Amino acid sequence: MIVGKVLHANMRAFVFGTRIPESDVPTFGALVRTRNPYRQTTIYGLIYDIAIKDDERGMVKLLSVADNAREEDIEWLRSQLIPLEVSVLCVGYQSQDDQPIRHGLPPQPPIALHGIECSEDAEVVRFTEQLDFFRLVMESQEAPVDELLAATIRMATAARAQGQQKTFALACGRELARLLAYDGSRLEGVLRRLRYDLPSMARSPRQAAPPSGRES
Amino acid sequence: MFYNSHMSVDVIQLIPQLRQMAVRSAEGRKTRDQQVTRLRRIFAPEFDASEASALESAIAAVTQLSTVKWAGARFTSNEVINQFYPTGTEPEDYALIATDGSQIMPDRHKAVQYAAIQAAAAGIVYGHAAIPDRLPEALAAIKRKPITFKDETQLYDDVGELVSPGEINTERDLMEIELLATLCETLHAAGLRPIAVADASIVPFALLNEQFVRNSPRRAAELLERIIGALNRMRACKAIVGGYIDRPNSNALTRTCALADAPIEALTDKRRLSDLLKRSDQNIRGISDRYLLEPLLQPSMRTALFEPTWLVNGPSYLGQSGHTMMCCYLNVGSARPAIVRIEMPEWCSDANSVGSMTKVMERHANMGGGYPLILKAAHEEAVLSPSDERAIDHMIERGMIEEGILAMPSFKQEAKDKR
Repeated sequence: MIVGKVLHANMRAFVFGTRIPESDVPTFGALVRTRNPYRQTTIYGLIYDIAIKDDERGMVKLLSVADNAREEDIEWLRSQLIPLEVSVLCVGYQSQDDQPIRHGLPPQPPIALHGIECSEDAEVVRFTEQLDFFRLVMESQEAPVDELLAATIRMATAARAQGQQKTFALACGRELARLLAYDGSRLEGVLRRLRYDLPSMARSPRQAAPPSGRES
Repeated sequence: MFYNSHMSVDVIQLIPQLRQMAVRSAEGRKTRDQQVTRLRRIFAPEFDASEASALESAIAAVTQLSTVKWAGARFTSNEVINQFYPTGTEPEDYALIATDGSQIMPDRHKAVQYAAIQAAAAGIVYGHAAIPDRLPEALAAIKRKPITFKDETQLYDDVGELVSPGEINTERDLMEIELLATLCETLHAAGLRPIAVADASIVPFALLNEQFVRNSPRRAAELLERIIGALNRMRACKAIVGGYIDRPNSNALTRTCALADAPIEALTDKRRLSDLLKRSDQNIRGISDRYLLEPLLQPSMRTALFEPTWLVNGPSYLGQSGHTMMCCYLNVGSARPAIVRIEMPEWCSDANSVGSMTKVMERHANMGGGYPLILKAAHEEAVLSPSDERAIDHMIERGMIEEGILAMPSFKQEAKDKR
């Protein structure tokens, strides 16, 4: 299902606009995809910001002062699709359908007005079989990196079968430990968030503990 | 006179003209007010049955004239010309729908010329649908926005001329009314009576132009076929259909009021009647029906229904299929007068339907701060914004580049874009 259309983009990130019911708005950390039809490329990204736009049509203000509005009018306005601007960090791409997914910046950014779709569980699992995208996320200047990684790992874990969740979560912990080896306190912060969301990681904290004596 | 150094117009050189204009305007207003007092006389209680009967004779006489086309109002319903009527009651269960449209006109300064026309709708269901299972489908239909895209191959006519902005606007008008008809059908299928509102006249502007209808009969017939098709579909759904004209500029009613002064003996003398009409047209110049009615029509009241004497409203055109348009003016204002014009096809111009339509429009105009909320919502859905236009331009340019064609906007366009 198309959940929005690209408004503007650069190599590292893109923003899509959407008017969908609040219940269907993809969440922070979710994996989404779009296509660059000129390059036959599918571009993957992680949602790192969701901005609810003001009611630019001014209808809420009008109805708030109307003394003859019926209950149906209020309900109708509530059901109107709220305009959202969703920011997405580019983390990978696939050149052709039969090619492997690469973690890295796409050869070209997404194009304006192209549709955005949410990745299903199977695609999330496939995308997170490798964890090289962690580095791209960490290099981001715009995104709240630690929160984003924690949210993405939580979703990718939940997308897996019960028996694979612990293995995946531990692999993520190890990758984080490797990448944040220079910053023990930050690593601890990310792991704390993960432990809170993922009990499987809390059971064996030592396996993902920050290396001692290497804090910056 | 206010002006400042940042204005891009040199107002100082306009000052003498603007002063003259103000003086002329004040003088014109005095004369106009005298005229208006005379014209308003037909709405007074003293305007008796014999005078009303004389006016009806005058209307009948001028509509028979072949030398002068009289663009006035005929009172063909059983409502009394000098009586105002209250709005009716809002139905319990119904679906209110409105459509609007928007377009991007061809621009020779762009890399590639194209036109895009979009129609969209807004709808609210009041009460309960008799067939609730069909309601989700109907509500989903409201969200669909038909869009017509015309590329360079479709933008030129048989003699190689670029289609006029009027043609694009006409297509937009037709798309709006056809969308309204489709939505009436879907909501009717869900067991709801549709109240369908078009932004402005239901009849496309081109068809209101008598010259066009006479001089381009083939094209006029094509347009008429589409509009009649849409109206037939809405009639089959028992919809209450109306066009809502905000700040109307028409003076059909004023022309009728002016006839009240016609001497009886002039009615049988065609030459005298023609001269009288010409003189009267000059006298009422600048007096709109809205201006005439502002102090007379109280809030929530409407005028009697009348039939505009447009050519296209006649028995050879809309009238042939029973779609003659009937009109009335309605005051939707509360603090100050807001006179709007409602146009409804003859088949839904009974007192109950007109009452429902006027009541609903009045309530929605109150909610919308003077303009119906449902029409505002439809406009918001339909509008193609400058950023939409830029995005389409960008996609076209990029697509052309992919095909190995470097299509660039004109230097003028580039210069304008560099702000």
